[in-house]
Amino acid sequence: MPPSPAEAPGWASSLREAVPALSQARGAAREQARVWLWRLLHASIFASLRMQAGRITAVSQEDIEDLASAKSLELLARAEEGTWNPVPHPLHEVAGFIRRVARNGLVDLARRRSRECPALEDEEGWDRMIADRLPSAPSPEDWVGAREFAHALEACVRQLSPRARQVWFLRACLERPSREIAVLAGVNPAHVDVIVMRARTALGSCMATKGHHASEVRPGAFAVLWSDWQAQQPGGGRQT
Amino acid sequence: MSEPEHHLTDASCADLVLGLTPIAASDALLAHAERCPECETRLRAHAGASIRARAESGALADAAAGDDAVKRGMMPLELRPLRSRPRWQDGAIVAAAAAVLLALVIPRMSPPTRALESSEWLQSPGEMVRTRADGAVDPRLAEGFEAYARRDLPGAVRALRAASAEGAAEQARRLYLGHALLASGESVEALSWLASLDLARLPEPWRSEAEAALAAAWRANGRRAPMVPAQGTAPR
Repeated sequence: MPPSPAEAPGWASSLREAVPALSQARGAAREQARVWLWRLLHASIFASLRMQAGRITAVSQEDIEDLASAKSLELLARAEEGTWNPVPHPLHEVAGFIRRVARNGLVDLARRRSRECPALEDEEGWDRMIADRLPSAPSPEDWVGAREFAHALEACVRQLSPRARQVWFLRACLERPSREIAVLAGVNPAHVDVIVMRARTALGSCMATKGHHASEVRPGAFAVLWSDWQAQQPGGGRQT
Repeated sequence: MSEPEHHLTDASCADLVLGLTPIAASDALLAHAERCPECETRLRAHAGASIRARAESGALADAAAGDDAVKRGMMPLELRPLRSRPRWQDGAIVAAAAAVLLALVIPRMSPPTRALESSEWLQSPGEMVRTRADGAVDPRLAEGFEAYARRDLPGAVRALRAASAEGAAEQARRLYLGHALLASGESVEALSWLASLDLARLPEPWRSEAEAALAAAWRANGRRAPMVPAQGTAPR
């Protein structure tokens, strides 16, 4: 049974608004609308890919990102041409369509690789596959320690310059490649590593003053740092 | 009794990174992620992907700056190469990208020039951008595009004649060389290059511009353009 509109993800509703907004926008607003639609498509397709990936083929994070980019481009082009319009469709159909696009991408990938994984028995299989690679849930004592560490790191990160903070976060927390970081931070790719190295040195010193002798991102710290980082993005990470 | 905590799903992570989750719900989800390694890992994956989308949207904006690049079929070429991964060479997504390198040119808005009577300047080739095969591009090709962009017609003709390329890059070379020759008054050779283009393979706006340039070359040679542009092998 399809999910009711109330259960449909927020991105389904946003997609239904973003496509006509793009076709109606002109000038600079059109560019903004295009970028927003691009981000919506990428995030929704990426989510749909992850939901189905383990049931269709073995994939890496990079595979899923590549597929998300490729499929987003296809849909963006179709939206621009007017050959894809989600407006008349209920939200669950919009979400279902995105899932089918993702599934088709995965099936194509599996065919290309000619080595499909055996189907998992249930829909939780992918989550289990991920969970198998995760550390076990922390005990309450561990969690208190992790939380203290995370907030100390957060305070130290705030002392970095905005650019160093951005570059360090993208590398240390999200493990993004230098070329991508360079695009976002507006620096030369070769300079990214220099900024990261300096930031790590500064963070190490800062953390030492707080009684911590490490500054790598430990479990539990990412959510704290990401929340902070997201809030500093233009528009608070939301559509601008 | 406290509310049961919900794990982050992929759908809720997508909403989070897009900023679509109401603040209270967002705070609750993030607080949960702090304590749940599985959810934190999932969120991290989505956050990473959203960073890539943002970086690629920068290319999207650059590409569209000259006009509607997506509409013109340009986007798939430029956006893909943000990462260089050999694995790309083994898939269909790849097939396009591998052919490519050539996404090559991100169009830039250039001041309109009306110095030419029979044709307009092509979209400025702008900068050579992220190609799948970094370093594999003939430097003379880049030199030719750069010369064309600064309206150095002799330099463009010289470099583009000498450059070697394949696939989409070769199509671009022929187009810009033909156009530079046409602008230089060498219409006979221009016609031979432009007529050799595989117009069906050119993305917009280059296809339209190539058709216009070809028609101008035909006119410059005192002939009317055929209904179906000639296809063939260009002189080397």
